[in-house]
Amino acid sequence: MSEIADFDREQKLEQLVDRYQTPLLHMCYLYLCDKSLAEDALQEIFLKIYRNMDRFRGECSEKTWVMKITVNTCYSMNHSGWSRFFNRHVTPEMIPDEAVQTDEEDRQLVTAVAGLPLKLREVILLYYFQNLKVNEIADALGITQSSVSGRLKRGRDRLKMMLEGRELDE
Amino acid sequence: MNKKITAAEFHDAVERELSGLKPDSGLIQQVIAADREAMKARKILPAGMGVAFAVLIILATVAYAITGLYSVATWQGEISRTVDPTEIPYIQYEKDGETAEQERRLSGFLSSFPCEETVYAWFDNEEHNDIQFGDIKRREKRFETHDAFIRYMSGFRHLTIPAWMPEQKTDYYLAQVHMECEASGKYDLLEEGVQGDIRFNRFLIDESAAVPTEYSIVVTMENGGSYMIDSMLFAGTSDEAILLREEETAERITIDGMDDALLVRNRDTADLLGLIMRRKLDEPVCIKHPHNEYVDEEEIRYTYEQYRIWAFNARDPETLIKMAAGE
Repeated sequence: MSEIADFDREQKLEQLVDRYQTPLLHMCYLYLCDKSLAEDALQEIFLKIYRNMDRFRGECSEKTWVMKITVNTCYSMNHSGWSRFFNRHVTPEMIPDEAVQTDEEDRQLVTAVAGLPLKLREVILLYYFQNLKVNEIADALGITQSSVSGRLKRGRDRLKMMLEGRELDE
Repeated sequence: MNKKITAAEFHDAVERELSGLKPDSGLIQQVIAADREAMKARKILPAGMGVAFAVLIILATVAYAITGLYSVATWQGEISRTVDPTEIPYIQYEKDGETAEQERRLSGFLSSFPCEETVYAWFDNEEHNDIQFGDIKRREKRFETHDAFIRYMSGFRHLTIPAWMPEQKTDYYLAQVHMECEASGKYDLLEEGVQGDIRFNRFLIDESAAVPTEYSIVVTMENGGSYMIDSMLFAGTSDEAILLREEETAERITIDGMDDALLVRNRDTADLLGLIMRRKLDEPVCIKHPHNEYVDEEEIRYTYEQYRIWAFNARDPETLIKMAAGE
């Protein structure tokens, strides 16, 4: 019986890893601005998902639940002994070589997002990269919807200043 | 008109730009293996937890003995409200045995570092992925004579120094000046470390970039009287000035150079307890915290000074007023 349960959990883990691993790794990288930390965070996120998947009752969407774990894990890693208070900035040279062809505008956008203060960066990533709605972001971050809207606006304003002639669509 | 980037374009741009960053192909096996390791470790935990709970219960029982009524005095010298002791943060800390223990341990840990260093230490709250309790040791300079302290502080106008000190011989004198980094100043990260369950980061702020933001003096006179004097900067201020115990009163007085001042006395004995003052700074003092990851603005702007003189075994208000304002 236990072996069957383990088999089901492992199958479910495989599905979730398949669905989320790449976008989550990219999200972690832009959150933590460090490749090794992002890889560690990804493993930690899926470990938490694996241990807690039986407790997920569907009070929110699966994606919101995964994002909540992602944000908490990245937050925790950002506050760990080796990264806390350490002000990292992503420069274009630090971004891993891309596997597909990109253009200067892509690089400018990613560098600008990585340069945002964390509070603004996380809402921008959840809204534009993970396609969560404002109420889902509020749920994932444990803040009010008006705070999310305020941070989105401030994030967009800052990016507009950094991106010449371009801005995020509201 | 600016070109609009849609969510889909944003998503695709990030995916393209980070396409060289790929997850490890053995991720699933790593997760399952890590879970099995953790299950083995969990089995040895319950034996130690009983001891931890016993300590917590003893500390909580002792702390619940704190009673009494408190009130809040405004800078006008009026009582604005009474306060239940359970609402006062530091008393709640005492009730919470775990936090009191952490506070004690952090304080001991931080005191082990050299004066020149700025150290942040904290306990992580694993459950909420947040700091459970943290404390700061700022760069510090110590003086064992008042003359040396005055000489050093003469270069800084934002912290008020005593205008006069009682002329009796002193038995003991210690002034501690705490410093932070000026806005344009530089600091070096010396170490990001872990000792047991305490995490800490050590910084060195260059002395030329260090700006005093707080000082305290403890002085004991040969005749038995003693004083504690401190001054610290605040980013903002409130109309509420001080928390008074049931037996204390606050009387508004005027002190040159200060916007507000309250004389605090014991209601029954009329003994003088202290003089608490504040003023708005002529110009804000801008400093830079080494940890600014979660702060939008990198600089902290201090706009107010709070200056206090506490007396023990002193009955004469003139002495305190003279210390604050001079002749």
